[in-house]
Amino acid sequence: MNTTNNPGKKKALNSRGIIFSIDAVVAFTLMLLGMLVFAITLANYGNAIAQNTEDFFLEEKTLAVADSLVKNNNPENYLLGACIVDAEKKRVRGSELSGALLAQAKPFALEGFFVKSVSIARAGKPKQQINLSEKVSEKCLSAKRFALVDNEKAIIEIEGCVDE
Amino acid sequence: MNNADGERSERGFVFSLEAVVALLLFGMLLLTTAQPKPVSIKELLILQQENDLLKVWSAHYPSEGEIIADTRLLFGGTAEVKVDGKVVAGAQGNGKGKAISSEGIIIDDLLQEKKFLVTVYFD
Repeated sequence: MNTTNNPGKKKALNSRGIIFSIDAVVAFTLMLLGMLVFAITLANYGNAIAQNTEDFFLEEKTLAVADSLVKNNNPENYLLGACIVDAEKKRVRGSELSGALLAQAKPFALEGFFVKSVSIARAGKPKQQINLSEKVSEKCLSAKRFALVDNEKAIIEIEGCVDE
Repeated sequence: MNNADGERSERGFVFSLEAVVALLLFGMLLLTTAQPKPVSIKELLILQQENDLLKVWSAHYPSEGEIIADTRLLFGGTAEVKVDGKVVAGAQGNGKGKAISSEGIIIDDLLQEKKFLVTVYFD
């Protein structure tokens, strides 16, 4: 602190170094706080985008497998298509599934995604579940489709999971 | 800008350092208000499920009781089914949110065309 009354010495002291005024300190603190808030929000934004991408990936793959199951006939893996083939018309009968073919479904995995189970719920009958994987995952999603299984109305549920 | 004599031109304007900092901060704070919207293809699944109902009903023409039971089984109480404009299965609490509809013409047991409209309400 300058306590001298000598004007020449006071002038010499003031001409060196940095002098902070109250408003400059407040402005500087606010600027730093603003930058901190911006950095935190940016990090949250990035995390939210990463989470959305992962959720979308799981949703997309699960829906694709469920849609393939009720629209195709895939002898390599009946999980990807267990529809009845109309030999006379030489075409697949969409939404009409064979329970016997579905029971032969094999495990399916693709780029960090796998199908954990398939279940068939017919009206008035116990739910039939086919487990396809023993892997444990915290991020799973199920998609329900309505179809005829062996000429009976049923809800088919596919449970897809992220391979962690 | 400086002219040929080295003097500052009267045109244009120059931001002070404080103004530049304030503008940058303002821009950064504006950016913080935007948040990414979650992307979902739930609408696609609902549309596929509606089409499932219409496909199964076209294979086996349903009675009114079956229409109600099938709709409840798949969508709970959030779907409405109209056959030729008449409400067969009604939705509960359909005044809010979004809706997706699918329409199909199904031939009944008497070979008459029936127009089915399935509407699912969701948030």
